[in-house]
Amino acid sequence: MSHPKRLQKIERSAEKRAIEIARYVLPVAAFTTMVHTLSGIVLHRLWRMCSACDTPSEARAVIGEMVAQVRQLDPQFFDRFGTTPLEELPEWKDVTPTKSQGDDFAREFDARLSGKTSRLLDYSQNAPRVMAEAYRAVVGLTEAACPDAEAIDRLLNPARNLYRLETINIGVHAPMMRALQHANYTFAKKISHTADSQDQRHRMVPGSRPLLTLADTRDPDYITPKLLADNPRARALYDRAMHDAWSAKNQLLDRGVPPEIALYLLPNAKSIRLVETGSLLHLLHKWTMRTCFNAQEEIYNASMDEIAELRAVQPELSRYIGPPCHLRAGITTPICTEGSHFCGIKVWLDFPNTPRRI
Amino acid sequence: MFDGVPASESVETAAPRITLRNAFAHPFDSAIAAARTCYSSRLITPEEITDKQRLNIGAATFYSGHHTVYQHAHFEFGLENVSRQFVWSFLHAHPFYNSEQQSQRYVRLDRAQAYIPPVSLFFDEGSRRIYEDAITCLGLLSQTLRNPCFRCALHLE
Repeated sequence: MSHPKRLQKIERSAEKRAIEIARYVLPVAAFTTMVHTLSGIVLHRLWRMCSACDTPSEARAVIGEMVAQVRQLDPQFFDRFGTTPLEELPEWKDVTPTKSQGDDFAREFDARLSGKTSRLLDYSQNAPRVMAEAYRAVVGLTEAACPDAEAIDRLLNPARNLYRLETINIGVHAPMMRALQHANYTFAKKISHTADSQDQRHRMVPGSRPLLTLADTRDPDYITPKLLADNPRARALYDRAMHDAWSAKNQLLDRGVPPEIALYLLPNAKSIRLVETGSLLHLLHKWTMRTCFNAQEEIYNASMDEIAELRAVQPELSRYIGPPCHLRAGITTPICTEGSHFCGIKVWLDFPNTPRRI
Repeated sequence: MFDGVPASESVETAAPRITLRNAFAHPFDSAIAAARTCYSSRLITPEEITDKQRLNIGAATFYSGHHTVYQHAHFEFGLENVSRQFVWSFLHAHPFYNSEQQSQRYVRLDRAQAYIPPVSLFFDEGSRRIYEDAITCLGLLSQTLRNPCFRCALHLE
């Protein structure tokens, strides 16, 4: 690549990273725009449950307008049933938050993470055996004809299982891949609000996420992207923004402003502590996507922690887990499925040991 | 705390804008027709549904939990001026939706555009000022972090 073009590419990459970092500072009150599609019954349920979140007033306004527009199209879809929002919810009835509880909970949760982004809490201890049984049930084989190790290799080895090379996620449609649904893994993890906004989109790996209005912390509680670590000026500015955001939020709370309103000032960097569970089938999809160097830093780190945790307890399952290039190298082309976004590093030569620089 | 907010800077806000972009023409009758098909030797069309069936089958299915009949109709909305906190805490907190959302990774936001609650007994003018100043300053600090003078130290290789 010519020198000016290379400089231009570096500049574009730097700008992209800068935007990524800068968004951590933006408040969660920031507007967004979206196309959102749901079924009729889900709209009924959202209307019924619009108070069951950190933003009940906004939810009631938005969902109320969605209901009104459907009602205008076909009045019967709602008027026949009289669905109304629930008012008193058990999450708030049985919890009396004090200002110290959120901070204490955060400390307790973080101590259990031991410095990791994600830590294995529980798992299917007999997963290899159960998945092998399930595979044999699908293809009608005896254990003598297909021992456990052979069954696991047929399921996970991309050289023997072409489903693992598919770039559209066909797992639930592949009879033998459904054997992976029987192995489940539960993780405790801590990532930023902005990273969790992506993590929660992996909806087949559902999580128990905090009601921030109940788990609020008096002290600043935020994630700092690694890119800021070597940039003291930017880091100082970042820390100042975080402390100022928490001061403003605390000031509003001290004035008697409801947490629902005050917490809109939290920045995207706000730490989210969650417990998440998925079957190996859906975790494989997530880990394949998010251990790629093009994945966002936090979700990449969480995924790398998760496969390291899996490797520690069930090493026989972890050999064929990693980014698309790790699965495809030597079997098919292109090795990298990112096209022009190829990171430029031959990760497949030494995964998971190739260090990610940014 | 935030101080020295430039007078020229302010937060842009607006009421949520909801647009029904695509929908079934007859969602309720489609649901009743689907329900009737379960007990019919042929496919039932929405045009065949009578008032009596709307009344009886509607109540029978909805109140007894036979809700899949109401899952056929889908509604595609455009949502504007909704907060990320709302999307995270509510719209995306369950699995049964499809969504494409403006990314803060790829869309530069040069003006602070955010949800501002209406003034009320518990959110007076003074509180609103603190709230707006905070959002303005976070927006400005975010812009500063995008500045090239910070970028050069991001150790890009």
